[in-house]
Amino acid sequence: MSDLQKKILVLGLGGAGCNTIARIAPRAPEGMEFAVMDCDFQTLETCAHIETRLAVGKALTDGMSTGGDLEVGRRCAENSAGQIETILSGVDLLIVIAGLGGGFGTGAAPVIARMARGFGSTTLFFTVLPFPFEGLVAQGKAHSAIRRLRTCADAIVQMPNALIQPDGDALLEKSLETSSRTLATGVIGLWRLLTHTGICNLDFAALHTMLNYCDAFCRFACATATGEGRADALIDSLRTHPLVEDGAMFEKAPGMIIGITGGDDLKLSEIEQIAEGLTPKGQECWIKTGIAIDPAFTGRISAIVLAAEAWKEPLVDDGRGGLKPLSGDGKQGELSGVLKPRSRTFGGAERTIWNGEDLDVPTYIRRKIKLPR
Amino acid sequence: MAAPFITALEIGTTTIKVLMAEVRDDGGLMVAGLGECESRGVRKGEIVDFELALDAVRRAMEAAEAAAHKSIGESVYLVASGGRAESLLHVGGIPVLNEYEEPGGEITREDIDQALEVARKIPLPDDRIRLHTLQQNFEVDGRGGIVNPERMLAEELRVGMLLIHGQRAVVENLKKIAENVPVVCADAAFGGLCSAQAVLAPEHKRAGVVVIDLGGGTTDYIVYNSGLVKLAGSIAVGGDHVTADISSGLNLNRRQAETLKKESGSALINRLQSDQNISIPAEGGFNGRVVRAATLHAIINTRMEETFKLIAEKIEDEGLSGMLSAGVILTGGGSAMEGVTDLAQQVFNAPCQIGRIHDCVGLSTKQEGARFAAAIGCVRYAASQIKPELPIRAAWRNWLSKLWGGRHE
Repeated sequence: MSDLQKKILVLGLGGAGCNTIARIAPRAPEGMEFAVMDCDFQTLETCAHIETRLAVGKALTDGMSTGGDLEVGRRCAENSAGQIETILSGVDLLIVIAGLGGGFGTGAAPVIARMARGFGSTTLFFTVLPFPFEGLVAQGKAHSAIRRLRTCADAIVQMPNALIQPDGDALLEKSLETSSRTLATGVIGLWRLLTHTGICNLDFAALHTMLNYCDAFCRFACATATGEGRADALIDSLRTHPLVEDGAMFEKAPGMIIGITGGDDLKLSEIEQIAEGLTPKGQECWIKTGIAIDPAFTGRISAIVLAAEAWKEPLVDDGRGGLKPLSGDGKQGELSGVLKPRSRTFGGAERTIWNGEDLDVPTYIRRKIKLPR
Repeated sequence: MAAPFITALEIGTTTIKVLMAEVRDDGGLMVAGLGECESRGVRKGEIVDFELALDAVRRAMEAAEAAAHKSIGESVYLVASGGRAESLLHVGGIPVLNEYEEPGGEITREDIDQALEVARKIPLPDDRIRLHTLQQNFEVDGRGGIVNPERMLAEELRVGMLLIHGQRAVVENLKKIAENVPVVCADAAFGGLCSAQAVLAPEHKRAGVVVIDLGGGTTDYIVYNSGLVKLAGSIAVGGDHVTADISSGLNLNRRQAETLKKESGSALINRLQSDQNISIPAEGGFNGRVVRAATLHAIINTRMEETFKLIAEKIEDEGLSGMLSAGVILTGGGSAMEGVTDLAQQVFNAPCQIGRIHDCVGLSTKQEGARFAAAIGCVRYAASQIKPELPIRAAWRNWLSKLWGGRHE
């Protein structure tokens, strides 16, 4: 791998994350790097085929699980900061798969996000949210973890477990298989688009832009279609994907990455059709389309879509006007919400009001500039 | 010693500076003593804790006296930076009459004095205080740009006066501090004007220039064109705001933010440096952190760009934006920030440089010059005020009329 190539690491956190990785890894293309991390040694044993395994928190749990205590999960991660840093250093894009609502994944995810940010990596979190039957406590934990993640992760894709199940009365094994496959298609598809130099490959910078602007929340959908009229079928199945609210998300998405993978028989008209079918009508939308050609895909066509829920400019452009988010209700991000203007910042001196603006409030907050992280 | 000996006192938000200097006959300055003390009890150029501020001023004065080996004397000149200063142009005029009291005639010395008198009478609200009244060019029958209209034929003579005024409470409090030291405060001069006196050569003033004093709590600016002050003002936003922004954006305490700003800050977002990380050392209960240079620079950049843009907008509103041939000159502590000249150059679309103090001996001007511009300029301003008369006595005699301006440059 040349130095110019960006390093992408897929990291499984906690029980759910490890299991998913264990399922994805065998069918992953060559060269894709995985790592798993948990404090439960049993879980790690199921991932024996993953090269990078990290057992954390030996001192805290003695190789057992956290028992659903996210504080323990957090401390496990913090205690093993040194080892985690070795794994994270030099990674440009960190894709984390974690199940929220439990112990380790929930507690450690924000710690990992913070560390990754310290290394300057872009982080994309695929978080699997608990089933309704797991109870309100698990749901609550998942929500608070999302909130904490939001301050340090670049993007979070939320996948409620209940939504990604096959219809009808499926067997348990099949259900788990389906949710893993949904994730796998997404992660592998993304990886393929970023690493394969295609005709119109999706480069790292485009993804970086998207993740920087998306204000932490992304929707994600993937689909594959074959045979006659496959482009139409693809659009249909993307739109009916459970994670995008029956296509409603696409209609209001202010930013989108469409990644199309096809075989040698991919036609331009198909690409055009898919791109047009997904682009929101009557709304400004930042769109980047990536196309990868893989001989293994002959006869079928596969697409993944990452759609931003909101769009925020992370940096100043012209200082005036051009800084407002293109859509959304203009709600401020997490950072600014936490940092309410403190009246005592300047020791009680009179506020500096200039043209109705309070200049004592940091400029980046007033201009709603999302700081690069 | 024949050369007048002048002390300037600058009560800034970050530091209090006392500068004792002699003014040679040729206008050059010789710095005799310099006293500095970390400022306390001052925020955004305003006094928020009188006792603390007074104490700091006393210590700065002692330091200056120790350096100069002589006493400060009984009066000081005060740099009134901040005070939300603003400028106001007022044009007043009189009809010119000939010897038969008919319109149209030769402009006499009395006509000029009378016109100046009329123009100078500008009503101010009670909470504002007059700092300077600066004369503009004369206008004879609608023709502007006339330097000396004496003996010209005209029907009407008009003249503009640029009034620089500040907030009364702020300036009075600064003055009160000096009087409690105790020393007599002979005059107060607007900080931006002082800085301009220190760093501008006459050719700058003619070509058109804006001097921006980037202070700790305030940013003062003054615009010259064709040799005259055209616009001046002060925004109560300064280096402290940058520090506060960093402290809230990166969750650091003020001292850490200040150190970070001074050591690694940059007013420009440098794409090459954006991947760098800056580590903040551990201390006390703080475990040390790593922050991204990109985040830090973005915080600083947005704030400083905004400040410059506010000034640029003011300049544009006055229709002066195309008249800055000599560009932008930066002074004050904030001018030490990396990349600040480049940022100003972008915003004002004019060449920008750090102010260099001319004609001054006894100060390591190369490194420190920009920081002391206001204090040095204040001495120079004071010298220009007292030169025509006997220094101390005259200052005492018309104490009141002189005190807060009332006199033009």
